[in-house]
Amino acid sequence: MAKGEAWDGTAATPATSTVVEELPKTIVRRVVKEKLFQLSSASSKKAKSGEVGDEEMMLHKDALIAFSESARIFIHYLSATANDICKESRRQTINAEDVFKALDDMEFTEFIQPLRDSLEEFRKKNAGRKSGTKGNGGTKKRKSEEELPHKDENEGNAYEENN
Amino acid sequence: MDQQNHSTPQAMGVAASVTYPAAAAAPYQAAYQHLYHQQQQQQQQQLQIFWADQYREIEQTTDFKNHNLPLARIKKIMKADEDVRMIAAEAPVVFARACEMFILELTHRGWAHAEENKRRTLQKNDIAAAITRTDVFDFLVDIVPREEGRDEAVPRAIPGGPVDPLYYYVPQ
Repeated sequence: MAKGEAWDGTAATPATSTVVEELPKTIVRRVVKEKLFQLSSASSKKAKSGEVGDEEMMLHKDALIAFSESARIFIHYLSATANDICKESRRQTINAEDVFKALDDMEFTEFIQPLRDSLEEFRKKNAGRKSGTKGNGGTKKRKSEEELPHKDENEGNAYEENN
Repeated sequence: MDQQNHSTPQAMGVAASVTYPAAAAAPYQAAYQHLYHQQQQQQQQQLQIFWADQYREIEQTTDFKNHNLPLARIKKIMKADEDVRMIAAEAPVVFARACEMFILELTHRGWAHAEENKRRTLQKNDIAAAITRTDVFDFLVDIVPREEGRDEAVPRAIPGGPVDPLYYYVPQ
């Protein structure tokens, strides 16, 4: 049954009605709009004065949907690839390294280093929080100097997701 | 910007070498004012440098915001794939940021297409064009379909692209 073929008047009902989880539109929109703003400002700086380029870029409604869908499919693609890599290593739990390797396989190699940095920040933040809540309510603001030791990230942090 | 740096050591030297005779208030005052102005200028400069750095940092790190995308939602999306079972706590964190970077990349390329066509509105076909043009976005080819022959501008020959110039159909 090709797309675009008309039914004989009856509304098509999907065989299984599953809820498709989507990314929050407001957040996707914010990410896109901020980038567009950045891009138009940069190009308007290069443009001669008086030229169009100072106006805000608009985002068409259908475009936002396309961004949202694309991002969702990206997550699927990345999960599936990371999952395969994880299974190859005979592990049950997808960890961060699997994801990095997956990105490399998918040829998003330039993403990897910034993501590693981002993950480090996250780890540090988390380490600070943990040490702050150990029976001492008041001094969370103290800078945690100790580096989080590189433990085996896999099973130590694993969720049990058996859904 | 005033280049006062070169005079600073000199000025300090001058200030240091001024003697303060007990009864001579005037030279003391002059020296004090001189010092005061020097400090003001230094502070001005330091402030300028500080704000220049801040602004630069903001420009550079605009992309690096906190995790916007909700981790729980991302986990749900991941688990829509039945094959995916257990996910380490850190994984959705990486996914969230990777997803954001992906959106940024797609936005940038879509924007480029809109610019080529001199439009101020980013449309769905800009995204479709970005997907067509970018190899790493091949997995999206069916998600955002390209409407037939809807490119306003004449498409440039993309090096290494699938289109063979010899057989590219040009409507007469």
